[in-house]
Amino acid sequence: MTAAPYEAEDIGMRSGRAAVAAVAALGVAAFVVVCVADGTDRPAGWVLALIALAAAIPVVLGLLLAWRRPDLMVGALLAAFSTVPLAEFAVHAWGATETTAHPWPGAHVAAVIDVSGWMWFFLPPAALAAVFPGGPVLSRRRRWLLFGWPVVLAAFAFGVALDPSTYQEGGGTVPGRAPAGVPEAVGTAIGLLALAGFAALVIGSAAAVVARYRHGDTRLRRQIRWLALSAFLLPLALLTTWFCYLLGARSAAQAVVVAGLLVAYFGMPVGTAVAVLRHDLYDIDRLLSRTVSYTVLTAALSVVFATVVFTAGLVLGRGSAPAVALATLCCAVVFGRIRRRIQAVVDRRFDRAGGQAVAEVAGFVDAVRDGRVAPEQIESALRASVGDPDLRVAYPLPNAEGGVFWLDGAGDRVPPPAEPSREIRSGGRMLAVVGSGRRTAVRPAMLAAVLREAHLPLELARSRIEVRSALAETEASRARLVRAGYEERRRLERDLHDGAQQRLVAVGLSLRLAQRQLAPGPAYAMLGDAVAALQEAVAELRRISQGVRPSGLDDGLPAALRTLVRASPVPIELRVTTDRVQDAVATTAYYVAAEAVANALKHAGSQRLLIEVSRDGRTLSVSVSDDGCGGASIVPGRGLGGLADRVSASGGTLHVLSQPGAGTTVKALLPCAS
Amino acid sequence: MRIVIGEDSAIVREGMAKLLVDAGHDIVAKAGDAEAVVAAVERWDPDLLITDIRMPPTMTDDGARAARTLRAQRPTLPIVLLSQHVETTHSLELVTTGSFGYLLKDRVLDVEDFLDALTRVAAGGSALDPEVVASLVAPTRATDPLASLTERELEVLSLLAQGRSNAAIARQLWTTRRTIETHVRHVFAKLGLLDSDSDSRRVLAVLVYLRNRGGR
Repeated sequence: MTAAPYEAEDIGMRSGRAAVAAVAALGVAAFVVVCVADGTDRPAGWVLALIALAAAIPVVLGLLLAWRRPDLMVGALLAAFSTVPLAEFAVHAWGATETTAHPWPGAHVAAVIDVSGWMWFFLPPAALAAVFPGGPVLSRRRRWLLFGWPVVLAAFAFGVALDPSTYQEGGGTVPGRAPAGVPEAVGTAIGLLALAGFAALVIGSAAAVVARYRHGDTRLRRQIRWLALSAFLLPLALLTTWFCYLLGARSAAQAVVVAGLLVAYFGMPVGTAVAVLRHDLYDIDRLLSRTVSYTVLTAALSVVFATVVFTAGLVLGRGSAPAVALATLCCAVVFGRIRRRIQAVVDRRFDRAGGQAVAEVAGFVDAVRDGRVAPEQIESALRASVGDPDLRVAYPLPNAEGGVFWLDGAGDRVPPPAEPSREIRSGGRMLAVVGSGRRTAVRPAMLAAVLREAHLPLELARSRIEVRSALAETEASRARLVRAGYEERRRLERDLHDGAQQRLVAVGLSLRLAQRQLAPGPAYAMLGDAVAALQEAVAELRRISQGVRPSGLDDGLPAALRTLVRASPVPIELRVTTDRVQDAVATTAYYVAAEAVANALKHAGSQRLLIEVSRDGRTLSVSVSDDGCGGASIVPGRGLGGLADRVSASGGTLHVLSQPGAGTTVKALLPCAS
Repeated sequence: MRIVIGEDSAIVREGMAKLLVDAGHDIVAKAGDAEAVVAAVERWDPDLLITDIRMPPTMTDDGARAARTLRAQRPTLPIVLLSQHVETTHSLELVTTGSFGYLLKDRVLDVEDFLDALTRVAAGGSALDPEVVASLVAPTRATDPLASLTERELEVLSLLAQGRSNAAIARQLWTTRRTIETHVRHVFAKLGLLDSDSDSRRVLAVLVYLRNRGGR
């Protein structure tokens, strides 16, 4: 949804600025006519002033829009909200001179046209509704919604001109009578056809805006909501009016049509302004704030310049060149300093939310730089700054299959952000995606400005999350390797017991049976020796398999440790205060104890040992203390170093406390799920 | 004796059966897994059950569990458990009840000792593998009460724990029965145990004591 919906159609009208200027000039000309024409019902001076003021607003708005988007006609159509009524007033005023002492040339024609002039008032709202906010409506299929107007207006004026009831003789207002020689039916027919065309234009325009609203996305809907409402009221008012005429209620009909037009004339420019200012249409707020800030800046610099010239002039004499130079210098010095300040103030005034949001994010960036907050908190900072609790930041990371998976700031897996979303890229690499919530979806320009500011923390957060994720994966794979190793040892131990050992016993039994068939003699003795050798082999296998995996582990850690304690030549006290833990944890704990005991016996010359196993929540603690000579340390690649690796691969930590002469305590803390 | 054998390895099972038949025993049933062991005992009501600990279905301690079940049903059924390795979890509990033996499997190859142990268990006595006993008797604590025993007394205790009678111990140690009785009395005195005239009671007392100092 990055492409603006109003860029779809090129209607060949590139110069919206010229159009709006022309329409505005026309409006000024019409206003001049209204002021100058000395007709019968010339408005009072204050009414003229009010009209000028009211007319100025759509013109200014139209000029602003045209300046920003010269390729669109909306500016010109907004200006038409002033120009068309003014033109009608001008025609009326022109025609009103007919009954004065000094009628203007063509006053009669103007008076006739004035009779059909009410229809003109419908042109600006209907045309704007057909076009707003940009152009797709002007597909070839619907182009007649604009170009039909001159035809319909001209035809209606012609029909009215031929209608006898227009003239005083026929009960109308225009002096004189209808042109002779034309059958009355012709004028009526032309008038009726024009009316039908007019109804089609108004209803078609309203239908166009309603259709666009229905098919548009959320953002477009927000932009045209109010405008659509007023546009929809227009044909409704018109139909109601005609219905009233049919019923003969003239005054009611006029009240309805005036109300409908008022709503359209008030509602549509307001709706346009709302769409423009609140919903980021045409990015007008930045233009507005720049214009205002430079105006203020110019004024301030003028004051500085004038003050300096005046003050210096008092000292150096009037019109002195040094005074002007000094003033220029002062202005140059002041310019840089106050420009930013004024810009900030104006930004806050005109684009309050946007300016503040950017400032808040800038503050967050400073806090990240100072190390006061973690860059991963950018999501909550963005949410707070743009006031959108639904905004999401997700970071795509490559997975093993060549695709991506998504993590949030906390490193948890999340689904990819829903549209509308924005990609944050750096050097062609996608760093993060920001999914808009309801509020930012309708203010893309503000979001873009905020995200420009937030690029640094987003990039930082992405790097940190990436590193953490990779580390977690490495740790997990190391733990998997350890578990696989334990599993392999268990399998090997089973194979030794159930395979080799069984077989040796079976062979021994056969030999024994054979031996019993013999009488004592050399062969008998040889078989006896063979069986004895087999028995030694079985005992040897038993020792090996015990080393591969202590069989006691099948009965839990305490049982395995009891076996370990019994095999020791020196006294070992065993304090176990835990029940069963998972096999992998128990195996690691067992090896810690076994290795520490072996070290104590081999290197430290210990006479007494203590093995303690306890569990605190999700941590299993195994410690082995001896009374030996101490001085042990973890050296990579050596006994305790290998043990430390094994423990850390299981996600735990190994601590060795060993003062020379004060014994050694080896303690492992192992995570275990409950 | 009418014997039921529980052993999952066919060659070991058949070899053992042949050996026992040779020795004049009657093999009434041979079972390859724990369930079959229970069924065979229930059907044949043998004089002795010999069963491997590690057996199908789970290949962990199914044999021992079957033995415990059967012992609960028939308190007098003599049972000999065979194991691949030294362990005490399953043996200690049952050994204190008498008519029980716990031997490493390769002990079968010492045919005479093996048959002797079977006879002892069938007669209501006990048989504990020397390696198991050795691991139990090994001193493991500074405050070990066994530390006060002489070497000879330890030797006697170790033999006692295997389930041998005073006469057998005397024969083995080339001494008189009276001497052994004195040693035993001293052992019991040093361990703070009351004397008793029943062999199995004495074994039981020793094993309860051994179990208690086994680390539990």
